[in-house]
Amino acid sequence: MTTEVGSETEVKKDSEQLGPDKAKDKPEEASETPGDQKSRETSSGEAQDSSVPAPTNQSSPSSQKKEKSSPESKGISRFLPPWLKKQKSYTLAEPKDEPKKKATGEEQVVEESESQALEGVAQPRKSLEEATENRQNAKAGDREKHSISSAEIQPSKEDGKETEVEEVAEKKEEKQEEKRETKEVQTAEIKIDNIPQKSPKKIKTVQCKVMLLDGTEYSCDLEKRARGQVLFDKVCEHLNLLEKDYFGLLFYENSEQKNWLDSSKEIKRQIRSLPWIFTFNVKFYPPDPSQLTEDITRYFLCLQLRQDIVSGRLPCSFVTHALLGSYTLQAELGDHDPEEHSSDYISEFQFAPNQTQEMEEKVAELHKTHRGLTPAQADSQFLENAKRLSMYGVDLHHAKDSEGVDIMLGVCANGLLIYKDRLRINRFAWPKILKISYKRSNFYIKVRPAELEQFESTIGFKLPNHRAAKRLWKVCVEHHTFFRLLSPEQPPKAKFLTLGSKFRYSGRTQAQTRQASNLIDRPAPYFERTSSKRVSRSLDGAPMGISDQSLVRDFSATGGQAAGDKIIDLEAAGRAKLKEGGREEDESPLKTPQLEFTQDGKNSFLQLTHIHPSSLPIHPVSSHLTYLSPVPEIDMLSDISEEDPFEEPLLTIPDISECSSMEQTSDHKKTGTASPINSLELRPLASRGSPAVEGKIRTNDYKSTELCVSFSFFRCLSFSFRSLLDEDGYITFPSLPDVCISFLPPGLQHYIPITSPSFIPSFLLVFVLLLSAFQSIPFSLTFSLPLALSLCYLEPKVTSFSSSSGNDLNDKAEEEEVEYEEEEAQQKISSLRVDGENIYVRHSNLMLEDLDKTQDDLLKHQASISELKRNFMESTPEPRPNEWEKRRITPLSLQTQGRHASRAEGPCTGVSDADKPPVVKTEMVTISDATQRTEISTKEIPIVQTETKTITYESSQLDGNAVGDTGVLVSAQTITSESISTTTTTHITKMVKGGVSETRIEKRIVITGDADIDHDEALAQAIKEAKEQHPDMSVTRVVVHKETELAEEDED
Amino acid sequence: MAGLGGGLAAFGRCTHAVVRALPESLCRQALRSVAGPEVDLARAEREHQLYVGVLRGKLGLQVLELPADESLPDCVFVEDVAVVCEETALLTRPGAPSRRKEVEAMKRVLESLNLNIVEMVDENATLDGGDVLFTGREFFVGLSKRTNQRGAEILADTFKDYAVSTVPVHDSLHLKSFCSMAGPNLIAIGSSEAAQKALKTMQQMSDHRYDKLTVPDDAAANCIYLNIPSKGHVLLHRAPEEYPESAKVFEKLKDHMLIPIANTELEKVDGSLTCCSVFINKASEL
Repeated sequence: MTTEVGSETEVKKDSEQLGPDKAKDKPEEASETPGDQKSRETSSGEAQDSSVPAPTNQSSPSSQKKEKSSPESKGISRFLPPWLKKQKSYTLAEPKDEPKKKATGEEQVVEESESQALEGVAQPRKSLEEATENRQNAKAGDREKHSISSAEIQPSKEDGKETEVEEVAEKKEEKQEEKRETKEVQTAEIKIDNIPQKSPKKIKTVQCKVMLLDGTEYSCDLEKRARGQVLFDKVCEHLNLLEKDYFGLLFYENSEQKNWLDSSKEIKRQIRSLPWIFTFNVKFYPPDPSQLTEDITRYFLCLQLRQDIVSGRLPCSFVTHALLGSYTLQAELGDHDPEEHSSDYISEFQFAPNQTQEMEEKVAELHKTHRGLTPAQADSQFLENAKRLSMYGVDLHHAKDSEGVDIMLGVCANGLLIYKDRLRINRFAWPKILKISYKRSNFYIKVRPAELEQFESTIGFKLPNHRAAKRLWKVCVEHHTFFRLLSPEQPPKAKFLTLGSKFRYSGRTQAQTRQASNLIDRPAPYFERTSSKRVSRSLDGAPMGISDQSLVRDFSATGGQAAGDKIIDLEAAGRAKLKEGGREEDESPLKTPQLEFTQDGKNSFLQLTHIHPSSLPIHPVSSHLTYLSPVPEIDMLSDISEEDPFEEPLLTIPDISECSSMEQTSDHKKTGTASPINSLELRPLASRGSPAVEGKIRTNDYKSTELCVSFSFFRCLSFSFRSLLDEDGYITFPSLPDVCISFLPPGLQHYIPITSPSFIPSFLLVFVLLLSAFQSIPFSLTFSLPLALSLCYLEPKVTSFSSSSGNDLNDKAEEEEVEYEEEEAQQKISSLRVDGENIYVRHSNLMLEDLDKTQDDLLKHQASISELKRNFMESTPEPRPNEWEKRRITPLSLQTQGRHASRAEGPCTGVSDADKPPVVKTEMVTISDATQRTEISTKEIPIVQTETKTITYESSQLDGNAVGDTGVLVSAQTITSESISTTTTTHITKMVKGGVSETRIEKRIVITGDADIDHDEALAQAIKEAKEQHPDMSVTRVVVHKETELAEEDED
Repeated sequence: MAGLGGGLAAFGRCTHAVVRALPESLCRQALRSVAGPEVDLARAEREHQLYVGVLRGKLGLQVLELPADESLPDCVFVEDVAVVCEETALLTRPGAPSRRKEVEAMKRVLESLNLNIVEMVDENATLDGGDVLFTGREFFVGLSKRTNQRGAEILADTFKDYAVSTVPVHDSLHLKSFCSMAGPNLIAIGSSEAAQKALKTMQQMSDHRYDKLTVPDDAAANCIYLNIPSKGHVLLHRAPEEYPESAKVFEKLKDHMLIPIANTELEKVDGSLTCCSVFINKASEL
């Protein structure tokens, strides 16, 4: 056949020509991996940002705190009952006056007092005075603690009365140790974490055991109140491990249920009654172990994987078992030595769940071929092969799908995998997932609409129980954060009495830990590789089959640092981002949590009825009710409802007007919110109005402000507050015992949901509301009961309604959720890196993909083909931004000069002219219409042709953002709301320029839809709405940016 | 490195190919999804000889040719009875009962190659090799009339190193009726709606991103990619006479050695290029 021959030779020639090129390309490809570099640059930039303010953070809190605490108590104390004064004032004053102080520290204080309260409950006979005394002791203790921590080394001079000498000694010892730790790691967090340890009273130590990966056991004494971090740090120190972010401590509730110890929480609150026995494990399996810095880290990863393999968690084929086994032998025994290694030397090792003679022979055979490999090289080879296994790093959870079919949910670095038996039946990459949540024992993911779909879909899975659902949720939150984000997300804003976990991953992300480990500068530590037969002994890591719940999310010393980093991040980087954003009108939405805040505002009332059934001990209702009457409580309660006394002082800063305007903005989003809640929620916002406080846009600090309030509230009620907070710090209420039902007439039992878990919160809420409104206890009590009951009665109906609607309403029913605003995450990433490039989101996508590819040696192989293919093939990136996404992410700053007036010009001008207030003169009109063909020459970047049009209207009042704003950024806030076709992002920036404060509200309205939507009308509507929402503000700039995707052209 | 296929570098490597001669019974008795013109046996044999000739002569593979069995009209389609990956071969339980006996001859020949042989004995399982797409990183198994969930599970148990994802296949006989691998990271895919949908499913299920090569004709998307040490990327694809538009697309793969092969006759009985061979890589004997 002639054609055949002809084409063959041609092709041959071609391939020959290409040969050298290809060869050339490859190394470049391998060495460059642009995405990777970029990510490093970015993260390094970030890390620099964050490292700068660290020292201040470190030094300020403890010393300041001590001095300030007493004088400041005055302002607020008048609102407090005398017996509460000290404590309360202390905690409340803090956020205001010590902005730089570590949030953790504050939280600590709160928690401590909580536990005091708990004690009170535990011994109800204790007189009130005694309790007060206790608190004062605690207070004194507090101060002393701080003084100690500020001095750091000084032995405690005056311990609380009840402290025993013995314990003091112990404490000192511990302090010494901590000092060492701190020195080594140099973090602020650690110190603060340790503060509570030196608490003056009743220091008790607990022995705790940690099973290490090499099968040995590490034991140490821990102060009873120690946080997970302390233990984790100790363990890592013991192991001489620096890259610890990949690891964590596990405890087992039973042989099945493993929980990660949360390093930011007290251990004892996580494991409850279980013995303090933990297992040191890999928590995040690095997709590319070769990127780990130290051999010792790889070694521990190897140990973990060997366990995983032997236990069957990581299935592999016969050949792979043999190969991995042979590397293990090489790493631990060195070169095969026929004399030394007699025939059965292998059977001492375990390589597979069921090891056969045949396998051992194969292992031995392969072992001989590894001659010359150093242990570290053998480990690396081991990892190179293990990482390709399909179940590598997949954390499996049993579940059922909506039809009740048994499935497994696997959480991994890239997303969520769904397995049925051994088959993968679905996969949701992180970019695809918009939100994860759980309610009761259900776990939900909200998935981005597919290319042709318009609506997001929510997919539910049924977990065996509530705890399992929560565990899965947490693992997802952590994995997403660790692998997908550059820096940890902020926990959601605390809201008064709101539900929903504040749990967020607080450790370092992979990007951060890589960054950090680049800085590791120590000679490779010597460590001894232990024989893997010991590994086999400790098999699947389930020791004793006891334990409770927790999560390691922080990593010891590094974790401490991480927390430090984070603060700074938000502070410095956030500010930087904002400024940048201001300049180029690139409104990188700042914080997701704020976003949620808005939503919560919307839903807060409803949400309150959705408190999940508590897994905590049930308290008889009487114990609460009896404490409802004492007078001081009422004061407290009214304090809460009319928070003005607290709020006003905070607001008497220059930007009070701005605060109100801010409130306004957020207000319009909150419909039907009960006012006290509303204002309470706003408080942290308002408090941020002061420049001083701004730096604290961080995690726990919400908690501190808010918790103080809610805490005191609860203590008045003599609630065991702690029992209301589960280990995530969110509030759970016990259900009333079923006995209560028997008090009701049998006929009513069905209808009155007295045992509903929502009953108590509803009751309390209603009570508080009524009380604040009428100032009369009897009245409030009388009415709150029926009201609460009716709320509870309605709850299931609302829930079922909202979950069935499957759309946005669903949010209300959801208990805990994390919004994955991927665009935002990505913008966060890219705004640091790419300036005003309209494809930047995709860029960052690719960055991530690049990493993957690098890891998988993918680039090398595709380099040559892909270049050619690019010319004629549409490559579909997997998380391909759809129309909607693309529009949404287009930065407004993109202005393309064009020749023609755009199609949109006419109507738009009309609209905006009509809608603008008289003060606004439209001065500059840039109309551009450019058909941009964005052809990106990187292989992985999809060729997407878009048509963009940008029209800018600007008033003379303000020169847009063109002027380099030298003002001081006071606060910034981003709120996003979505309807079907529009997404509104409200970005509020407050600046102080030369004493004059200025609030700028940038609203970005993204109208999405197909051609049949009238964009112009939608735009007009949006502008009108925006104006109505802010009648007191003037429109200074309108940028219309239109982007249309052109149909892909056929290459041929 | 032998481990885990040595990554993508080894994808498409092979030393041996198993093929089987056409029985005369094929013309009348072979299973076919749509009635149509009768198979011209002589022409079918010529095409098949050419096919084998390319593998043996041009590519230098050791071709093990099984004799035809008249009682097994479909026996030429050896792909369906065995899935070979690295050192392991899974002998399938074909979805069509009439084809189950085809496995025996395949078993013998694979045993002679010293592969680890796994047999699908589960009565409830069916699997046709034509529904199995191995990408070098993972398996996709089409759930079709011929292949069921259980069969896919057994495949997953056999090749534990790899992820096995299932893809619903409705409109065509096999998953590979409209797609195949055309390179280490390149999936050739037909343009039909069903094909594109299946591709989307695969893309969603995979942690990896594959490039795709879209060809106008579904049948032409079934091609054979091989990586022959002395020849580099080799691609056997349908001849331009059969599918001119699709052939044009293949011709743009500049660094592939392209070998057009006609398959007009066997196509009438749902045969495609990959159907007629099983490839084995035994080169790296230790």
